[in-house]
Amino acid sequence: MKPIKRNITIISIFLLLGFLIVVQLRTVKEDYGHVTLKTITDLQKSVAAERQEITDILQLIKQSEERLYNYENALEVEGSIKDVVENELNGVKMVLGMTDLEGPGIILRLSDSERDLEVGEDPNDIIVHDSDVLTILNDLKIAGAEVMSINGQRILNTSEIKCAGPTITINNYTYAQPFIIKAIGDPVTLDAAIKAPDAYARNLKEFYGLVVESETSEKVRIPRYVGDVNMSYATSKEGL
Amino acid sequence: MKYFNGKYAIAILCAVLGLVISMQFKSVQNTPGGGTISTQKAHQLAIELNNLKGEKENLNEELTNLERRLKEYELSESDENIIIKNLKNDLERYQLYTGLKPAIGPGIVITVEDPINEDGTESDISMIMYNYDIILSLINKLNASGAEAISINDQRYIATTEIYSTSNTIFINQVPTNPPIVIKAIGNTDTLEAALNMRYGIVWEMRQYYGLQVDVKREEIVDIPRYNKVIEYKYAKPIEVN
Repeated sequence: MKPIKRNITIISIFLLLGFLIVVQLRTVKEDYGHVTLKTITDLQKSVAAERQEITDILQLIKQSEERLYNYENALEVEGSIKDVVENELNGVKMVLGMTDLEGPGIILRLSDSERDLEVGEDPNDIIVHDSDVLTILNDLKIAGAEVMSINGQRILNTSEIKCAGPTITINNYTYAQPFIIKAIGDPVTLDAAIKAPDAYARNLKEFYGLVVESETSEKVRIPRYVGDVNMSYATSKEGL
Repeated sequence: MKYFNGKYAIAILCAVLGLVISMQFKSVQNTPGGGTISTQKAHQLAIELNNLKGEKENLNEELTNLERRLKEYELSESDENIIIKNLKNDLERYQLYTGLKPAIGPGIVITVEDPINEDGTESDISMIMYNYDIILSLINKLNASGAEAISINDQRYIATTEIYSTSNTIFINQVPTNPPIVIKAIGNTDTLEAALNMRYGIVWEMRQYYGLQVDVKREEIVDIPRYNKVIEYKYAKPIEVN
């Protein structure tokens, strides 16, 4: 190899090497930060949550504007807002649970297993627990249940469930088995929530032998809540 | 000799060059999350999140203003007419009870976190998400102890509130969120606290059987937001009275 050609080759290889070493060092330097996949997914989740909440607030704004319009209109046309307030009150009562409601849905019957205990089996396995009822109610809600009741007691946001042996206490009323759970919603999804292969209710029936019977209906009637609606500790925020 | 040195020099140089090139490729591949592209993505997402949060705040302000104006209607005229006054009192009370208005009052704040592994790391699977039914039991206990308003990670708990989890997110009122789970409740502070901290009670069970870190704190003022979706029944209708 001619000396000049050789020198040029060496120089150009050195140049390339030098360049690569610098890039290598820069990549390793802390400048680029240590971004893990988890950080990215967390950020994506937060973004999705914010978007969802913004959509919800926009709906609420629309609803509030309508209600404001109703008030203003009533004042102008009738000179009194009594009717508007009454309508609003009926709407809130329905959401709270103080109205008898009916619609398509599902009726569920739940009670302790009727079979004998097998040797070495825990008696707890064949009776109905609070958590069983809570999970089934939650599953129904996931499936879109709008309104629910147990043994005729309307389920409110403040309702408690206490299972004690063969009885259940809801809203401070106590009932004996069987526990009849009613829910209004889309009968197909409600039914799936109870009868799907990996549904909790189905598992209770097939694995633990509890009595779990259910049927959908086009006309499920759920009575209103008949107790007090009084609060001693919670108050409205100022001005709202 | 010079001739030989030249050849060897070039050979060695090429070897080092090859080594450096392969190291460069490997380091780009190995950087977690895919290398430099991720950093850009993270920045982009962070900026988007900031913008969305700002937009949400503005919208919330607009909504609060609308609600104040509505409240003015509810306050006016009430002095003149007893009937309307009573209607309005009921309206406000029911709205507060059922979660349509934000609430404040004395109560407790419960923070539930996943267990910490013995070596101090976080585990991949969230114990809370896998066993979200324990949160259901906790809410039930609060209701049984007279809780008047409850929120979970700032989502108001109403009659139709459901909790479910996918592989890495927990959904409350269909809003995604993650542990730690912060549950607030307004009620008689002593009763609530006693019921939770009962021997062999719900908090004991959470710590003992699930290894969760549970912190129960008394608060003079607990601030619970309103339920922030429009409630509409598509299937349930009032029964026609004949």
